[in-house]
Amino acid sequence: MLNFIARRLIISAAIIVLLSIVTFGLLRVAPGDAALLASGGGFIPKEQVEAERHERGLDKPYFPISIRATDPPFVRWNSDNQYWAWASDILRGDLGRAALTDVPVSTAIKDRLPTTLELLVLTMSTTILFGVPAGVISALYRNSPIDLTVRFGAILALSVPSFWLATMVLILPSEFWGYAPPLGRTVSFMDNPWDNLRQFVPPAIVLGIAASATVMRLTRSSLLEVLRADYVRTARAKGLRESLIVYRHALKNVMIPVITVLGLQFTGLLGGTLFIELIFSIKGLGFYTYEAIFRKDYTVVQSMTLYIGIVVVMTQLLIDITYAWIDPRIRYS
Amino acid sequence: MAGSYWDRIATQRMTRRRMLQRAGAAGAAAGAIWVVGCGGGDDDDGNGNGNGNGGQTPAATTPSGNGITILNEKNPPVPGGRIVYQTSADFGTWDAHVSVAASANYFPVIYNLLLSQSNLMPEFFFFDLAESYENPDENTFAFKIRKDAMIGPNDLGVPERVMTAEDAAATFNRIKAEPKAGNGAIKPFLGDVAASGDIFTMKTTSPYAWMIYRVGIYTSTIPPMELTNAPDKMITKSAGAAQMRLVSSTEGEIARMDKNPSYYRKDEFNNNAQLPYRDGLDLRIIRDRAAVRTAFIDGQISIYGAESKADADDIVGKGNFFVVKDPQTTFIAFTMNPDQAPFNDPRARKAVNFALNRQQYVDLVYDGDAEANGLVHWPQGDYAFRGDELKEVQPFDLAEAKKLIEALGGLKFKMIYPASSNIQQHDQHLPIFLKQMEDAGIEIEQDPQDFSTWYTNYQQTNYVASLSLNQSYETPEVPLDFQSRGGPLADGSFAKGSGDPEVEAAIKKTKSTFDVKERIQAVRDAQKVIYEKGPTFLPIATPFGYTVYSGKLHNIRTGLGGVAGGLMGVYSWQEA
Repeated sequence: MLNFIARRLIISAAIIVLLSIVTFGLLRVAPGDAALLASGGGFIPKEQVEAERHERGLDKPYFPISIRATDPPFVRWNSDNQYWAWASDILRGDLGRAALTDVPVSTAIKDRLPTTLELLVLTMSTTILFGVPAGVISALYRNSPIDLTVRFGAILALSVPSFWLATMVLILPSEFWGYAPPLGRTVSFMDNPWDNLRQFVPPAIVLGIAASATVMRLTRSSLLEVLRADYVRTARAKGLRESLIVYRHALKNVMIPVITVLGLQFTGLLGGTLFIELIFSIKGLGFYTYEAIFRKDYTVVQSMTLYIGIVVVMTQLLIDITYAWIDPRIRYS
Repeated sequence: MAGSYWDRIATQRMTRRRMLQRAGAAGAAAGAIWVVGCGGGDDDDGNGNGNGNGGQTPAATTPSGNGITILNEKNPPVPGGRIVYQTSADFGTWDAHVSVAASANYFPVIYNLLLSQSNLMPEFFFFDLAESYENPDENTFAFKIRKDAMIGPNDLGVPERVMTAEDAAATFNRIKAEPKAGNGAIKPFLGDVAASGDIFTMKTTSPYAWMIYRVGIYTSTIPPMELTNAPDKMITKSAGAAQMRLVSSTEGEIARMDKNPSYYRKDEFNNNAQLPYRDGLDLRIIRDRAAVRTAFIDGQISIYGAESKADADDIVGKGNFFVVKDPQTTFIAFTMNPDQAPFNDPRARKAVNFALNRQQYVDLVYDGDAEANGLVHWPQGDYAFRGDELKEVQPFDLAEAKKLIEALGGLKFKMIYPASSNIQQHDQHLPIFLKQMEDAGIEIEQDPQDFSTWYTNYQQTNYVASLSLNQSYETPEVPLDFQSRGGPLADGSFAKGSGDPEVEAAIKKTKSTFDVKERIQAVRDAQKVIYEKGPTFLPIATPFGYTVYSGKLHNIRTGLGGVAGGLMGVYSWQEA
């Protein structure tokens, strides 16, 4: 197992470096003048744009090596280049500063991570609390009215776009009852637990509904398959109670694909809650990254990609380790 | 009663006008008195509560007869309340000289300006750090600095002292020296500056009639020199002698401003009560339109910019709100590059202008709640052509357009535009524009671009034509600059005029004419010359805006527009 973890860590490091190079390169290839956008938009004089370009080092070569097909020497070594300047800062633990706000990226992550994590935890809790039991019930009462109702609900949940649902969740209580969650300020759970839950539970439910529908369908199909397995038949032949068979034996095996999907959902939510953050005015990492992409804020996008990449890779490693814990037959050697 | 209150104000205004006639532009002191006079203080007429059923003019509104209106007036004012504004953009840094983000709009309430001239009512000045000014010659502006602008308590280590001419000199020297400072608003015209006793002197590089206006906008605020010389201190907090002070700014979320207890201005019509009345201003970032509306209805924010009249009316029916209709200063425009074919030929530019039926945009995009623009947008008052006059100088004439196109042997061009702007009206302009051009026989190759790409190409004038998003222009100067060779920033970025000497001379004359009446005529003459030579920049239509206010907000001054109007918020207060 330790060998496996060590090997995966080395591969993970290589993936992260590759990711950083690809992200760095693609950002530069994309159209739009980063110095102009970093200047804030609007009518910015050329002098100001050039000052911004120089200050942010955007007038330097991109990579240590550059190739020019028409101008000898064709291959050049650039000791002072943008990639190395950024990478060396990262190695020193400095994620840089956002172009528009001048706030360190590390500070922004520190400020926003608790919000994103709370949203993630609540969303994952909603997903598991609704998705797994619904899938189990649906499988156990296969083709019954309960099953059909749960499956209909799941299809509906998958069909409704989250941004639309979120808008409705925000607007309808306001229109009918004049109710709104706190908007435009993050309420800490420690400061005001009630307002905090008013702020986070609605978006978590919106995000969790679609995710739990996926989990429900997966749980149902996996459980149906497992319930037809030989060892379940053996257990039944031995006279074990159905509940014991389902919850102690079958469900544990069902959990392997479900955990895989939950892991993917977790990493997806890490950067993919931007519409929910936007609609509920929650200050999380998703919208922060989205805005940086829109503004071509290289520093923020690169650092956030790196950060999310590390979290994704580590999450996947954790999931692989969990497999072995759930299913003792799985051994990594 | 409110009426007698306004009688007094009107009398003082007359006094100020006479003085202006006598002493040219040096009318400062009386102006300051007049500004101070706008504070209320009469007995309430008992009708001052926010009229929840609104309509467009609340019952408690007091029309001044001189352009200013006090909304939801209730006297005597009760000091207090935190007014909550919403923004959809990040604050950015709060460094007063380099920020180009949402924070910039609030600099005039946390740092002093010398003065601010109303863009909608040019005879109105909000005299701030300067108590008067004069022009010894056309290139010199001398400001007399007030002696009671005391820096308030702060935790930035700035001594609580009186602001001086040295502070002003430090600011304008930094704007001159720092490449990123001033956002181009004043730097191109700024010559030497000097402080001598209580006089701050500013020279311009050439006679420049809009200088006072530029001195009075958000890019020209004056922090204490302790901050100007150490700008890192200004990033999230402020210290100064203006009406508010920034006490915290949380990136991406909220900025909080508390009132400055040492603010120099008093309300002489309310027993010299200390201003500002409001305890604080909060600025919250809420980006989604539905969320903004929800937050407003729930009372989490105090002011809401409605999407349309219907939206405003709907909200007013939901509670204690009132709505105000004001002309906006924005427009969407069609920009042509005269350096590239076919627009290097004035006939092509004229053909597009003749083919553009602006009334259709007014009717279809804005439901009639807008007006067609000439080359200067109509809210600029006398500077702009409107109504019949506009029909004469800028007719919609399809036959004339076709004749010109025929003479050109056809007209075809590529047009860039931002494909997915967040400005709904821009998307609505596009199909109308395309249809109108098609009706005239003009072929357009569409080149939709993501915002970043379009913005970069627009800045680099890398286009033949562009249906462009635009910003708010508070004076006629910038729309005319689009027609000049140097463009709106005088450095060739964003747009270029044809460079016709007559056009350049006409625009130059508008900038160097100091007398307001003569300047109005110069701006109108310049537009006529540009029409004759083929305009390169065509503003389409400017709508009215509907702003909904919480009924708990009182004594809001409107009618001044821009920074001067914002500074009058010093008299507003909010019920607990």
